[in-house]
Amino acid sequence: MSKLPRLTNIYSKVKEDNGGRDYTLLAIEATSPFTYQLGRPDPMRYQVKVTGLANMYTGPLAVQDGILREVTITVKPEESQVLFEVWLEAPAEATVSFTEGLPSRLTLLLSRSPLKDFYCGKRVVLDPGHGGADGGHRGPVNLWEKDVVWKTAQEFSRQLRRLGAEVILTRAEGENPPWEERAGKGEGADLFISLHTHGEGDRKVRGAAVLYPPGSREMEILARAVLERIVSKTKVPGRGIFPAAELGKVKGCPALAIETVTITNWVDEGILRNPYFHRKLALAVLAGFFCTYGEKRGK
Amino acid sequence: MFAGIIPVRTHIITEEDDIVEVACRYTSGIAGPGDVIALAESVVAISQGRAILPERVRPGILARILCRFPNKSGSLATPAAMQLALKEVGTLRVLAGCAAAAAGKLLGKKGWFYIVAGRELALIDDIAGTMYPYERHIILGPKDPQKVAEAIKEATGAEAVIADVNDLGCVDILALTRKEYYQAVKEALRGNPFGNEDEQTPIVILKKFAEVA
Ligand SMILES: [Zn+2]
Repeated sequence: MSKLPRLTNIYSKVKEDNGGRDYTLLAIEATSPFTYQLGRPDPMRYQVKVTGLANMYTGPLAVQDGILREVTITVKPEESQVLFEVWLEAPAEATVSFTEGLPSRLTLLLSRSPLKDFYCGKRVVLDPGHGGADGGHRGPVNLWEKDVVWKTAQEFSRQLRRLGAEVILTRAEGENPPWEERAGKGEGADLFISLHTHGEGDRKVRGAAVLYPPGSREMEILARAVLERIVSKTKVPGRGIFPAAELGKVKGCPALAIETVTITNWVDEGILRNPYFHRKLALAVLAGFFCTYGEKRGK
Repeated sequence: MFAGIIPVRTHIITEEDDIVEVACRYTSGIAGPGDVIALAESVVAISQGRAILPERVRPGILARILCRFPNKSGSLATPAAMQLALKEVGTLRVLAGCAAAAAGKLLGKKGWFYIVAGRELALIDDIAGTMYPYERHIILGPKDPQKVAEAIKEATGAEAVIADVNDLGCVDILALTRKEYYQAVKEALRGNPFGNEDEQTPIVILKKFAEVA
Protein backbone atom coordinates (compact mmCIF):
# COMPACT_ATOMS: atom_id res chain seq x y z
CA MET A 1 0.00 0.00 0.00
CA SER A 2 1.34 3.44 -0.89
CA LYS A 3 2.08 5.84 1.92
CA LEU A 4 0.12 8.88 0.81
CA PRO A 5 -0.06 11.77 3.26
CA ARG A 6 -3.32 11.90 5.21
CA LEU A 7 -4.79 15.38 5.45
CA THR A 8 -5.96 15.94 8.98
CA ASN A 9 -6.78 19.56 9.63
CA ILE A 10 -7.37 23.05 8.27
CA TYR A 11 -7.72 26.16 10.41
CA SER A 12 -7.40 29.91 10.31
CA LYS A 13 -6.72 32.63 12.84
CA VAL A 14 -5.52 36.21 13.02
CA LYS A 15 -1.95 36.06 14.18
CA GLU A 16 0.82 38.49 14.95
CA ASP A 17 4.23 38.03 13.34
CA ASN A 18 7.58 38.86 14.97
CA GLY A 19 7.44 42.43 13.75
CA GLY A 20 4.10 42.99 15.47
CA ARG A 21 2.08 42.98 12.23
CA ASP A 22 -1.18 41.07 12.00
CA TYR A 23 -1.74 38.33 9.47
CA THR A 24 -4.55 35.99 8.61
CA LEU A 25 -2.98 32.59 9.00
CA LEU A 26 -4.36 29.63 7.06
CA ALA A 27 -2.84 26.23 7.79
CA ILE A 28 -3.34 22.83 6.16
CA GLU A 29 -1.97 19.85 8.07
CA ALA A 30 -1.13 16.27 7.11
CA THR A 31 0.58 13.23 8.59
CA SER A 32 3.68 13.62 6.40
CA PRO A 33 5.24 16.20 4.05
CA PHE A 34 3.03 16.67 0.99
CA THR A 35 3.37 18.14 -2.48
CA TYR A 36 1.15 21.05 -3.42
CA GLN A 37 0.49 23.47 -6.25
CA LEU A 38 -0.44 27.04 -5.45
CA GLY A 39 -2.37 29.09 -7.98
CA ARG A 40 -4.14 32.44 -8.04
CA PRO A 41 -6.84 32.37 -10.74
CA ASP A 42 -7.95 35.89 -9.80
CA PRO A 43 -6.99 38.52 -7.20
CA MET A 44 -9.74 37.36 -4.84
CA ARG A 45 -8.92 33.66 -4.87
CA TYR A 46 -6.06 31.28 -4.19
CA GLN A 47 -6.11 27.60 -5.11
CA VAL A 48 -4.07 24.97 -3.33
CA LYS A 49 -3.93 21.49 -4.88
CA VAL A 50 -2.59 18.93 -2.45
CA THR A 51 -1.66 15.33 -3.16
CA GLY A 52 -2.98 13.13 -0.39
CA LEU A 53 -6.01 11.51 1.16
CA ALA A 54 -8.52 13.43 3.24
CA ASN A 55 -9.05 11.95 6.68
CA MET A 56 -10.52 15.21 7.86
CA TYR A 57 -14.00 16.59 7.38
CA THR A 58 -14.09 18.44 4.07
CA GLY A 59 -16.98 20.83 4.62
CA PRO A 60 -16.24 24.54 4.05
CA LEU A 61 -14.23 26.52 6.58
CA ALA A 62 -15.95 29.86 7.19
CA VAL A 63 -13.64 32.62 8.41
CA GLN A 64 -14.98 36.09 7.49
CA ASP A 65 -12.28 38.16 9.13
CA GLY A 66 -12.27 40.97 6.57
CA ILE A 67 -9.50 39.34 4.52
CA LEU A 68 -10.36 35.64 4.23
CA ARG A 69 -14.01 34.80 3.58
CA GLU A 70 -13.93 31.01 3.46
CA VAL A 71 -12.15 27.94 2.20
CA THR A 72 -14.04 25.32 0.22
CA ILE A 73 -12.63 21.82 -0.15
CA THR A 74 -13.10 19.35 -3.01
CA VAL A 75 -11.83 15.78 -2.80
CA LYS A 76 -10.75 14.03 -6.00
CA PRO A 77 -10.19 10.44 -4.89
CA GLU A 78 -9.27 9.07 -8.32
CA GLU A 79 -6.31 11.48 -8.51
CA SER A 80 -5.53 11.27 -4.78
CA GLN A 81 -5.93 15.03 -4.73
CA VAL A 82 -7.63 17.52 -2.52
CA LEU A 83 -8.40 20.99 -3.84
CA PHE A 84 -8.64 23.95 -1.43
CA GLU A 85 -10.24 27.09 -2.82
CA VAL A 86 -9.36 30.11 -0.70
CA TRP A 87 -11.92 32.88 -1.21
CA LEU A 88 -10.77 36.34 -0.17
CA GLU A 89 -12.74 39.39 0.93
CA ALA A 90 -9.98 41.77 -0.16
CA PRO A 91 -7.09 41.27 -2.61
CA ALA A 92 -4.51 40.25 0.01
CA GLU A 93 -1.02 38.95 -0.77
CA ALA A 94 0.01 35.58 0.63
CA THR A 95 3.37 34.38 1.90
CA VAL A 96 3.72 30.60 1.81
CA SER A 97 5.81 28.40 4.07
CA PHE A 98 6.05 24.70 4.85
CA THR A 99 7.03 22.92 8.06
CA GLU A 100 7.87 19.23 8.07
CA GLY A 101 6.86 17.24 11.09
CA LEU A 102 4.02 15.39 12.72
CA PRO A 103 1.82 17.02 11.54
CA SER A 104 3.45 18.59 8.49
CA ARG A 105 2.00 22.00 7.80
CA LEU A 106 1.47 24.28 4.82
CA THR A 107 0.96 27.87 5.98
CA LEU A 108 -0.41 30.80 4.01
CA LEU A 109 0.11 34.14 5.72
CA LEU A 110 -2.33 36.61 4.22
CA SER A 111 -1.48 40.25 4.63
CA ARG A 112 -4.12 42.24 6.47
CA SER A 113 -2.92 45.50 4.97
CA PRO A 114 -6.14 46.14 2.94
CA LEU A 115 -8.03 46.27 6.23
CA LYS A 116 -5.28 48.24 7.93
CA ASP A 117 -5.00 50.75 5.08
CA PHE A 118 -8.73 51.31 5.38
CA TYR A 119 -8.82 51.93 9.14
CA CYS A 120 -5.45 53.64 9.55
CA GLY A 121 -5.95 57.24 10.66
CA LYS A 122 -9.73 56.89 10.87
CA ARG A 123 -11.43 58.25 13.96
CA VAL A 124 -13.91 55.80 15.49
CA VAL A 125 -16.18 56.75 18.38
CA LEU A 126 -17.24 53.90 20.65
CA ASP A 127 -20.23 54.48 22.87
CA PRO A 128 -20.69 51.82 25.56
CA GLY A 129 -24.31 52.28 26.67
CA HIS A 130 -25.45 53.18 30.21
CA GLY A 131 -22.83 53.29 33.00
CA GLY A 132 -22.55 54.50 36.57
CA ALA A 133 -25.89 54.29 38.37
CA ASP A 134 -27.63 53.20 35.15
CA GLY A 135 -26.97 49.47 34.78
CA GLY A 136 -29.17 48.97 31.73
CA HIS A 137 -30.74 45.52 31.39
CA ARG A 138 -29.77 42.70 33.71
CA GLY A 139 -29.22 39.03 32.80
CA PRO A 140 -31.12 36.24 34.59
CA VAL A 141 -27.95 35.11 36.39
CA ASN A 142 -26.02 38.25 37.24
CA LEU A 143 -24.58 40.24 34.34
CA TRP A 144 -25.36 43.92 33.78
CA GLU A 145 -25.59 45.55 30.37
CA LYS A 146 -23.34 48.47 31.36
CA ASP A 147 -20.52 46.07 32.23
CA VAL A 148 -20.75 43.74 29.24
CA VAL A 149 -20.90 46.58 26.71
CA TRP A 150 -17.87 48.08 28.43
CA LYS A 151 -16.07 44.81 27.84
CA THR A 152 -17.16 44.74 24.19
CA ALA A 153 -15.99 48.35 23.76
CA GLN A 154 -12.55 47.41 25.12
CA GLU A 155 -12.30 44.65 22.53
CA PHE A 156 -13.35 47.03 19.71
CA SER A 157 -10.81 49.51 20.95
CA ARG A 158 -8.01 46.93 21.03
CA GLN A 159 -8.70 45.76 17.48
CA LEU A 160 -9.10 49.29 16.11
CA ARG A 161 -5.84 50.49 17.65
CA ARG A 162 -4.04 47.53 16.10
CA LEU A 163 -5.41 48.68 12.75
CA GLY A 164 -4.04 52.16 13.35
CA ALA A 165 -7.37 53.88 14.03
CA GLU A 166 -7.93 56.65 16.56
CA VAL A 167 -10.43 55.50 19.19
CA ILE A 168 -12.64 57.78 21.27
CA LEU A 169 -14.81 56.43 24.06
CA THR A 170 -17.91 58.40 25.03
CA ARG A 171 -17.63 57.50 28.68
CA ALA A 172 -15.22 56.31 31.35
CA GLU A 173 -16.03 53.03 33.09
CA GLY A 174 -18.09 54.49 35.95
CA GLU A 175 -19.76 57.37 34.09
CA ASN A 176 -23.10 57.85 32.40
CA PRO A 177 -23.05 61.03 30.27
CA PRO A 178 -26.30 62.16 28.62
CA TRP A 179 -26.99 61.06 25.05
CA GLU A 180 -26.48 64.56 23.57
CA GLU A 181 -22.96 64.63 24.94
CA ARG A 182 -22.22 61.13 23.64
CA ALA A 183 -23.66 61.84 20.20
CA GLY A 184 -21.71 65.11 20.03
CA LYS A 185 -18.45 63.17 20.06
CA GLY A 186 -19.37 61.83 16.62
CA GLU A 187 -18.68 65.20 15.03
CA GLY A 188 -15.72 64.94 12.66
CA ALA A 189 -15.42 61.20 13.20
CA ASP A 190 -15.47 58.49 10.53
CA LEU A 191 -17.68 56.03 12.37
CA PHE A 192 -19.83 56.03 15.51
CA ILE A 193 -20.73 52.73 17.17
CA SER A 194 -23.08 52.63 20.13
CA LEU A 195 -23.03 49.36 22.08
CA HIS A 196 -26.03 47.97 23.93
CA THR A 197 -27.76 44.72 24.69
CA HIS A 198 -31.44 44.18 24.12
CA GLY A 199 -33.71 43.27 27.02
CA GLU A 200 -37.21 41.76 27.21
CA GLY A 201 -39.64 40.51 29.81
CA ASP A 202 -40.00 37.35 27.75
CA ARG A 203 -36.92 35.26 28.54
CA LYS A 204 -37.33 33.28 25.32
CA VAL A 205 -36.41 36.22 23.10
CA ARG A 206 -32.80 36.17 22.05
CA GLY A 207 -30.44 37.53 19.44
CA ALA A 208 -28.61 40.56 18.06
CA ALA A 209 -29.95 43.63 16.27
CA VAL A 210 -28.46 46.62 14.49
CA LEU A 211 -30.08 50.06 14.69
CA TYR A 212 -29.50 52.85 12.16
CA PRO A 213 -30.48 56.52 11.78
CA PRO A 214 -33.98 56.77 10.26
CA GLY A 215 -34.32 57.91 6.66
CA SER A 216 -30.86 56.85 5.50
CA ARG A 217 -30.89 54.17 2.85
CA GLU A 218 -27.11 54.00 3.02
CA MET A 219 -27.12 53.34 6.76
CA GLU A 220 -29.87 50.75 6.35
CA ILE A 221 -27.68 48.84 3.89
CA LEU A 222 -24.71 49.10 6.25
CA ALA A 223 -26.82 47.92 9.18
CA ARG A 224 -28.00 44.89 7.23
CA ALA A 225 -24.46 43.99 6.16
CA VAL A 226 -23.17 44.31 9.72
CA LEU A 227 -25.98 42.21 11.17
CA GLU A 228 -25.39 39.47 8.60
CA ARG A 229 -21.75 39.38 9.60
CA ILE A 230 -22.54 39.25 13.31
CA VAL A 231 -24.94 36.35 12.78
CA SER A 232 -22.60 34.27 10.67
CA LYS A 233 -19.52 34.95 12.77
CA THR A 234 -20.93 34.70 16.32
CA LYS A 235 -23.86 32.33 15.53
CA VAL A 236 -26.14 34.52 17.64
CA PRO A 237 -29.50 34.74 15.84
CA GLY A 238 -30.46 38.07 14.26
CA ARG A 239 -33.49 39.96 15.57
CA GLY A 240 -33.39 42.37 12.66
CA ILE A 241 -32.42 45.93 11.79
CA PHE A 242 -34.44 48.89 13.05
CA PRO A 243 -34.40 52.67 12.60
CA ALA A 244 -33.64 54.54 15.87
CA ALA A 245 -34.39 58.26 16.14
CA GLU A 246 -31.58 58.97 18.66
CA LEU A 247 -28.96 57.99 16.11
CA GLY A 248 -30.11 60.93 13.98
CA LYS A 249 -28.43 63.14 16.59
CA VAL A 250 -25.01 61.87 15.54
CA LYS A 251 -24.07 64.36 12.84
CA GLY A 252 -21.70 63.99 9.95
CA CYS A 253 -20.61 60.36 10.21
CA PRO A 254 -22.04 56.86 9.79
CA ALA A 255 -23.67 55.82 13.07
CA LEU A 256 -24.94 52.44 14.20
CA ALA A 257 -26.15 51.04 17.48
CA ILE A 258 -25.48 47.38 18.02
CA GLU A 259 -27.54 45.31 20.40
CA THR A 260 -24.98 42.57 20.75
CA VAL A 261 -27.35 40.00 22.29
CA THR A 262 -30.56 39.89 24.33
CA ILE A 263 -29.09 39.79 27.82
CA THR A 264 -32.39 38.76 29.47
CA ASN A 265 -32.16 35.38 27.74
CA TRP A 266 -30.26 32.60 29.57
CA VAL A 267 -28.26 31.52 26.51
CA ASP A 268 -27.35 35.04 25.43
CA GLU A 269 -26.24 35.99 28.91
CA GLY A 270 -24.03 32.90 29.01
CA ILE A 271 -22.52 33.79 25.64
CA LEU A 272 -21.44 37.15 27.07
CA ARG A 273 -19.14 35.31 29.48
CA ASN A 274 -17.15 33.90 26.59
CA PRO A 275 -14.23 36.24 25.76
CA TYR A 276 -14.17 34.93 22.18
CA PHE A 277 -17.67 36.26 21.67
CA HIS A 278 -16.58 39.87 22.17
CA ARG A 279 -13.58 39.31 19.92
CA LYS A 280 -15.67 37.80 17.14
CA LEU A 281 -18.37 40.42 17.42
CA ALA A 282 -15.90 43.29 17.07
CA LEU A 283 -14.19 41.56 14.15
CA ALA A 284 -17.53 40.94 12.43
CA VAL A 285 -18.58 44.58 12.76
CA LEU A 286 -15.23 46.00 11.63
CA ALA A 287 -15.06 43.58 8.68
CA GLY A 288 -18.66 44.43 7.77
CA PHE A 289 -17.97 48.17 7.74
CA PHE A 290 -14.76 47.61 5.74
CA CYS A 291 -16.42 45.38 3.16
CA THR A 292 -19.34 47.81 2.68
CA TYR A 293 -17.27 51.01 2.54
CA GLY A 294 -13.82 49.76 1.57
CA GLU A 295 -14.89 48.59 -1.87
CA LYS A 296 -16.84 51.73 -2.59
CA ARG A 297 -14.06 54.14 -1.65
CA GLY A 298 -11.04 51.99 -2.30
CA LYS A 299 -11.28 51.78 -6.07
CA MET B 1 6.96 10.01 24.67
CA PHE B 2 4.91 11.00 21.61
CA ALA B 3 6.48 11.94 18.28
CA GLY B 4 3.46 13.93 17.19
CA ILE B 5 0.15 15.39 18.27
CA ILE B 6 -2.26 15.35 15.33
CA PRO B 7 -5.64 17.08 15.70
CA VAL B 8 -8.25 15.84 13.22
CA ARG B 9 -10.99 18.13 11.93
CA THR B 10 -14.40 16.43 12.17
CA HIS B 11 -17.96 17.23 11.23
CA ILE B 12 -20.22 18.46 14.01
CA ILE B 13 -20.89 15.37 16.06
CA THR B 14 -24.50 14.81 17.10
CA GLU B 15 -26.52 12.13 18.86
CA GLU B 16 -27.00 10.48 15.44
CA ASP B 17 -23.32 9.54 15.49
CA ASP B 18 -21.83 6.32 16.80
CA ILE B 19 -18.71 7.63 18.50
CA VAL B 20 -16.72 4.42 17.98
CA GLU B 21 -17.44 4.48 14.25
CA VAL B 22 -16.52 8.19 14.14
CA ALA B 23 -13.21 7.55 15.91
CA CYS B 24 -12.41 4.71 13.47
CA ARG B 25 -13.24 6.73 10.38
CA TYR B 26 -11.19 9.82 11.20
CA THR B 27 -8.12 7.93 12.39
CA SER B 28 -8.01 5.19 9.76
CA GLY B 29 -4.60 4.84 8.16
CA ILE B 30 -3.05 7.01 10.86
CA ALA B 31 -3.49 5.46 14.29
CA GLY B 32 -2.17 1.97 15.00
CA PRO B 33 -1.07 -0.17 17.94
CA GLY B 34 0.81 1.89 20.52
CA ASP B 35 -0.66 5.19 19.32
CA VAL B 36 -3.40 6.89 21.30
CA ILE B 37 -6.72 8.19 20.01
CA ALA B 38 -7.86 11.05 22.24
CA LEU B 39 -11.48 12.19 22.32
CA ALA B 40 -12.91 15.32 23.90
CA GLU B 41 -15.40 14.25 26.58
CA SER B 42 -18.08 16.62 25.34
CA VAL B 43 -18.44 14.95 21.94
CA VAL B 44 -18.65 11.53 23.55
CA ALA B 45 -21.44 12.88 25.76
CA ILE B 46 -23.22 14.52 22.83
CA SER B 47 -23.12 11.27 20.82
CA GLN B 48 -24.72 9.56 23.82
CA GLY B 49 -27.65 11.98 23.76
CA ARG B 50 -26.44 13.76 26.90
CA ALA B 51 -26.90 17.26 25.44
CA ILE B 52 -30.13 18.46 27.00
CA LEU B 53 -32.23 21.46 26.11
CA PRO B 54 -33.12 23.42 29.27
CA GLU B 55 -36.71 23.76 28.02
CA ARG B 56 -37.07 20.04 28.69
CA VAL B 57 -36.02 20.35 32.32
CA ARG B 58 -38.45 21.35 35.08
CA PRO B 59 -36.31 22.90 37.79
CA GLY B 60 -37.71 22.50 41.30
CA ILE B 61 -37.57 25.08 44.04
CA LEU B 62 -34.33 23.60 45.43
CA ALA B 63 -32.57 23.90 42.06
CA ARG B 64 -33.72 27.50 41.80
CA ILE B 65 -32.20 28.31 45.17
CA LEU B 66 -29.00 26.30 44.81
CA CYS B 67 -28.10 27.66 41.38
CA ARG B 68 -27.62 31.03 43.12
CA PHE B 69 -25.16 29.45 45.52
CA PRO B 70 -21.70 30.89 44.79
CA ASN B 71 -18.29 29.17 44.68
CA LYS B 72 -19.13 26.68 41.98
CA SER B 73 -16.63 28.47 39.73
CA GLY B 74 -19.48 30.06 37.79
CA SER B 75 -21.04 26.87 36.48
CA LEU B 76 -24.35 25.23 37.44
CA ALA B 77 -25.56 28.82 37.48
CA THR B 78 -28.87 28.16 35.76
CA PRO B 79 -31.81 26.42 37.48
CA ALA B 80 -31.98 23.79 34.72
CA ALA B 81 -28.31 22.83 35.05
CA MET B 82 -28.67 22.58 38.83
CA GLN B 83 -31.77 20.41 38.43
CA LEU B 84 -29.77 18.03 36.21
CA ALA B 85 -26.95 18.03 38.79
CA LEU B 86 -29.43 17.05 41.50
CA LYS B 87 -30.65 14.23 39.29
CA GLU B 88 -27.11 13.05 38.48
CA VAL B 89 -25.75 12.68 42.00
CA GLY B 90 -28.73 13.13 44.32
CA THR B 91 -29.88 16.00 46.50
CA LEU B 92 -27.80 14.99 49.51
CA ARG B 93 -24.49 15.12 47.73
CA VAL B 94 -25.25 18.49 46.15
CA LEU B 95 -26.23 19.88 49.57
CA ALA B 96 -23.08 18.43 51.13
CA GLY B 97 -21.10 20.04 48.31
CA CYS B 98 -22.66 23.42 49.08
CA ALA B 99 -21.79 23.00 52.77
CA ALA B 100 -18.22 22.12 51.80
CA ALA B 101 -18.03 25.13 49.47
CA ALA B 102 -19.19 27.39 52.31
CA ALA B 103 -16.60 25.91 54.68
CA GLY B 104 -13.97 26.20 51.94
CA LYS B 105 -14.81 29.84 51.49
CA LEU B 106 -14.18 30.51 55.19
CA LEU B 107 -10.80 28.80 54.92
CA GLY B 108 -9.98 30.43 51.60
CA LYS B 109 -10.02 27.11 49.69
CA LYS B 110 -11.53 26.69 46.25
CA GLY B 111 -12.98 23.64 44.53
CA TRP B 112 -14.51 21.98 47.60
CA PHE B 113 -17.97 21.92 46.04
CA TYR B 114 -16.89 19.44 43.37
CA ILE B 115 -14.66 17.41 45.67
CA VAL B 116 -17.67 16.64 47.86
CA ALA B 117 -20.57 16.77 45.39
CA GLY B 118 -18.76 14.66 42.82
CA ARG B 119 -16.44 15.40 39.97
CA GLU B 120 -19.04 14.27 37.42
CA LEU B 121 -20.74 17.57 38.22
CA ALA B 122 -17.63 19.45 37.15
CA LEU B 123 -18.19 17.88 33.72
CA ILE B 124 -21.60 19.48 33.31
CA ASP B 125 -21.31 22.31 30.83
CA ASP B 126 -23.97 24.88 31.56
CA ILE B 127 -25.94 26.79 28.92
CA ALA B 128 -23.59 28.61 26.49
CA GLY B 129 -20.64 26.57 27.76
CA THR B 130 -20.34 24.62 24.51
CA MET B 131 -19.83 25.76 20.93
CA TYR B 132 -22.52 26.24 18.33
CA PRO B 133 -24.80 24.39 17.63
CA TYR B 134 -24.84 23.22 21.27
CA GLU B 135 -24.79 26.61 22.97
CA ARG B 136 -28.48 26.24 23.91
CA HIS B 137 -27.86 22.90 25.60
CA ILE B 138 -26.63 21.74 28.95
CA ILE B 139 -24.09 18.96 28.36
CA LEU B 140 -23.67 16.29 30.99
CA GLY B 141 -20.50 14.25 31.34
CA PRO B 142 -20.20 11.10 29.20
CA LYS B 143 -21.69 7.83 30.43
CA ASP B 144 -19.35 4.83 30.93
CA PRO B 145 -16.30 6.53 29.40
CA GLN B 146 -14.05 3.54 30.13
CA LYS B 147 -16.36 1.26 28.12
CA VAL B 148 -16.28 3.69 25.20
CA ALA B 149 -12.47 3.86 25.32
CA GLU B 150 -12.19 0.06 25.38
CA ALA B 151 -14.57 -0.20 22.42
CA ILE B 152 -12.43 2.23 20.43
CA LYS B 153 -9.33 0.19 21.23
CA GLU B 154 -11.13 -2.98 20.18
CA ALA B 155 -12.17 -1.40 16.86
CA THR B 156 -8.93 0.38 15.94
CA GLY B 157 -6.11 -1.47 17.68
CA ALA B 158 -4.88 1.84 19.07
CA GLU B 159 -5.11 2.93 22.69
CA ALA B 160 -7.85 5.42 23.56
CA VAL B 161 -8.34 8.22 26.04
CA ILE B 162 -11.34 10.39 26.86
CA ALA B 163 -10.43 13.69 28.46
CA ASP B 164 -11.67 17.11 29.46
CA VAL B 165 -9.17 19.84 28.66
CA ASN B 166 -9.51 23.58 29.05
CA ASP B 167 -7.57 26.56 27.75
CA LEU B 168 -5.81 26.96 31.09
CA GLY B 169 -4.05 23.64 30.58
CA CYS B 170 -6.12 21.61 33.05
CA VAL B 171 -6.40 18.03 31.81
CA ASP B 172 -8.90 15.66 33.40
CA ILE B 173 -8.59 12.10 32.16
CA LEU B 174 -11.91 10.28 32.37
CA ALA B 175 -10.86 7.02 30.78
CA LEU B 176 -7.67 5.51 29.41
CA THR B 177 -7.03 2.04 28.00
CA ARG B 178 -3.38 1.86 29.05
CA LYS B 179 -2.53 3.11 32.52
CA GLU B 180 1.24 3.48 31.89
CA TYR B 181 0.45 6.24 29.41
CA TYR B 182 -1.35 8.40 31.97
CA GLN B 183 1.36 11.01 32.56
CA ALA B 184 2.49 11.19 28.93
CA VAL B 185 -1.07 11.61 27.67
CA LYS B 186 -1.74 14.30 30.23
CA GLU B 187 1.36 16.20 29.11
CA ALA B 188 0.45 15.81 25.44
CA LEU B 189 -3.04 17.23 25.92
CA ARG B 190 -2.01 20.18 28.07
CA GLY B 191 -1.87 22.57 25.10
CA ASN B 192 -5.53 21.76 24.34
CA PRO B 193 -5.15 20.25 20.85
CA PHE B 194 -8.96 19.73 20.87
CA GLY B 195 -8.96 23.45 20.11
CA ASN B 196 -11.20 26.25 21.15
CA GLU B 197 -13.99 28.10 19.44
CA ASP B 198 -13.38 27.98 15.71
CA GLU B 199 -11.36 24.82 15.70
CA GLN B 200 -13.38 21.65 15.33
CA THR B 201 -10.86 18.96 16.27
CA PRO B 202 -12.41 16.84 19.03
CA ILE B 203 -10.28 13.87 17.93
CA VAL B 204 -6.53 13.99 18.39
CA ILE B 205 -4.05 11.26 17.49
CA LEU B 206 -0.96 10.92 19.66
CA LYS B 207 1.67 9.15 17.55
CA LYS B 208 4.28 7.18 19.40
CA PHE B 209 7.89 7.23 18.23
CA ALA B 210 8.55 4.66 15.51
CA GLU B 211 10.37 1.65 16.93
CA VAL B 212 14.02 1.56 16.06
CA ALA B 213 14.67 -1.55 13.98
ZN1 LIG C 1 -29.08 49.72 26.52
